[in-house]
This record gives sequence, structure tokens and C-alpha cells, in this order.
Amino acid sequence: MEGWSYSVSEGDKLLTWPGARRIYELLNDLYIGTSEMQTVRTVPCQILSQAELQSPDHKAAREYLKNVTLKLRESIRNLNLKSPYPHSVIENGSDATHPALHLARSTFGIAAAFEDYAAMIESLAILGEIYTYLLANPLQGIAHAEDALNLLTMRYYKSVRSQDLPGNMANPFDYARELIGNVYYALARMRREQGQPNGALAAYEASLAVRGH
Amino acid sequence: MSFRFPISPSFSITGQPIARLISGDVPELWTKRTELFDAVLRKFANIHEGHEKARAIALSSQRSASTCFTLYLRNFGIEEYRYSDDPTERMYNLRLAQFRKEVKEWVIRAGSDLLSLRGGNDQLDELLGSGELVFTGQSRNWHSLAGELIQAAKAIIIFANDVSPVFLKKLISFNLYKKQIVPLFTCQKPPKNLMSCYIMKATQIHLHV
Repeated sequence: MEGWSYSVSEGDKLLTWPGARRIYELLNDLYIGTSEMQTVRTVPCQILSQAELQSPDHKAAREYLKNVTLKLRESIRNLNLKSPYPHSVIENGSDATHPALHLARSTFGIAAAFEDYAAMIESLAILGEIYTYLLANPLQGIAHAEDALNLLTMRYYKSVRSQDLPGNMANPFDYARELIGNVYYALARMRREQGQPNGALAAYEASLAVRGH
Repeated sequence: MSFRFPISPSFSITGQPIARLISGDVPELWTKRTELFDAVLRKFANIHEGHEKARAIALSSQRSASTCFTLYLRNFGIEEYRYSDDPTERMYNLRLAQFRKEVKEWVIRAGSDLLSLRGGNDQLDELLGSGELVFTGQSRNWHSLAGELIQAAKAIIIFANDVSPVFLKKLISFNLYKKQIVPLFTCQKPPKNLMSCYIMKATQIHLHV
């Protein structure tokens, strides 16, 4: 066995020790193996263990999140998006005071921590609808377009597994693109009504690009 | 409806934002709350991104001869240091993390990606970081996942205190007894047992321990 002792690296230089060269030589001498990789192709990324996911606490949390998203959906159907605090979104310069946005975003964060993909998808869809609605109806309160787009960035959707999506949205990226496209399109309409043709065109083009047209 | 938020054992110090959220410790202030959510989402996004990148590299290795990967299975025996009351032993854990990082850099410099495999009971902090190539498996699929990766890997790296019966049993369970085990490095003054880094030559057929 060859000795190795810990010391501090200097700058970008790697430490050198007697065995280090052997890694390079070893890897160069080897050949790649073969495998059908059936599990590798399909295995989902699941962080919490199955035992944790099936614990009474997690089941209770999931039930709670399910109820929250159901109530949010009901609110959207009843157009409670308009009230009671639409203008405070403008006044305070923050989306925080919009109760539906606040609740949907909180739900998404908590659902993510619980790896509750159904609640994550539902709360994201709700967020997409709220932002689209607010951008399309600026008199109801101008949601911050940047916040909307930041929230709906693709990397968040990477947490969404295809098998957890609704049947007609098998590809999470297609689903994400559709939602983001909606938000961009609403933004384009808003910019046009504000008399900003350049901004409207840019947003419209972004909407098409995101949707893959 | 009332329930208590459990703190997942999967998350340790580096999973602090997630542990906070799971324990119901959500700040009242919107900006703070958003920061907390964003921290959680970034971590999850990184984990998922690392998983997908690892999958892409593993599959690519079977299509193109120019792509290969080395598999880092895990640090066998690390638990006894992580949970130790002795600060020297916990420091030893940090030294090993540095050691592993340097081995990884040498593997990458040799033209191979280093993929890691995390099991359902492994802590997150051992393997995860921004852009780390880590498969996040679970108990029910860990063996088949590990088996496929072991078959396809150019080499396999395992850290272990010694070649214990449990360690050998694990190797045998993956049919690694057909591989050559090369103990590469040994720390000079570890607080407990010797710690070695083993690289298994996936194409060899002899066992040397």
C-alpha cells in the first residue's frame, strides 16, 4: 500500500502523492463494461425513503396539501383572484400580499419538501393561472412579470416527474413550456395595452419560442 | 386537521432549509419565507439535475466509446465517524471529504466522469452539491441500479476502513469477487482503523485483497 497524507492544496494545483499517477494509468488501461441499463433508464429521483413517505405524518401532510390546493382551485373558479387585495400588489411592490399567490407559492414550497409531486404540480399550475390572469387583467393588479417568470423557470419543473403528471401531459417540459408560454403571452398583451410595442413583440416572441413554435 | 411535521433523517446539516420546512419552521416575513422556499427548491433542483446528468452519462457510455464513467459506490464505515462524540473523529470525516474530492479530480483529469450512487438510507450531505453526478436511488431499486452501473462502469471506487466481513459480503452481493481490488491510498494516522480507497478494475477476474 502506498502512503497518503493530507495537506493543503496550493492554488489550482492538485496534490501529488505516490498513488495519484496510478489512477490515471489504471483508468487508461481499462475498458468500458456493458449493461442493458433497464433500471438506469427508468429509475425516478426520489429523495425521501419509501418508509418516510408512507409514515402517518407524511400521509397527514399530503392530505392537508391536497385540501389546500382544492380550496385554491375553488377560489380560482369563483374568481376570487380579483379580491380582496388586488391593488396592494401594485402598491407594495410585492406579490406577497396577494393571498392566492402567497398561498400557492407556500404550498409549492412545502409540497416540494415533502416530495408531494401531485401537490407541486397542482400548485404550480395554479400559480401559472394566477399570473396569467393578473397579466391579462392589469386593472386587477399587476403581478410582477419577472417574479412570474422566475418562478416558472424550467429548473423548478425538473422536480416534476413525468409519471406524476396528468395523463395528457406526459412530458414535464411540455407542461412547463405551456404554462410559461401562457405567462409570456399574457405579458405581451399587457405590454401592447400599455403602448409598449417593442416589449409586446419581445414577450410574444418569447411565448412562441417557449412553446416551440 | 392537525399533524406534526416530521424531520426527515435524510437531511442533515446541508439540508437545513429542507429540515426547517419539514419541521414547520416557516418564517412569517414574506421575503424570508421566499428565501427559504427558494433554498429548498434550489437544493431539490440540484439533486434532480444531478440525477438526470448521471443518467445521461451512464446511457451515453453505452453508445459512445469516447464517454466512460467511474462509479463511486459509497464510503463504507463513515457512520461511525459522522456520529462520533469525539471531535477528532468528526474532523477525520472532513479530511476524508477532502480526500474524496481530490480522488474525484484525478478521475476527471484521467478523462472519466465520476458517478455516485446514493441509497435510501444514505445521508444527503455525503454526496450532494451543485451539479454533482449522483443517482438518488431507494432501497427497492438500489441493488438493480448498482448492479447495472457496476457492469457498465470502467472502474469502481469504494472507501472503506478495512476489508470487513460486511464489506466483503456487499462486494460478493454485486459479484464483485470477479474484480481486482486495488487499494490505492492509506491515510497515515487515522484515529481508528486504516482508511483506504479501493478502485476495482471492472475487467479483471482475480481477487486481490
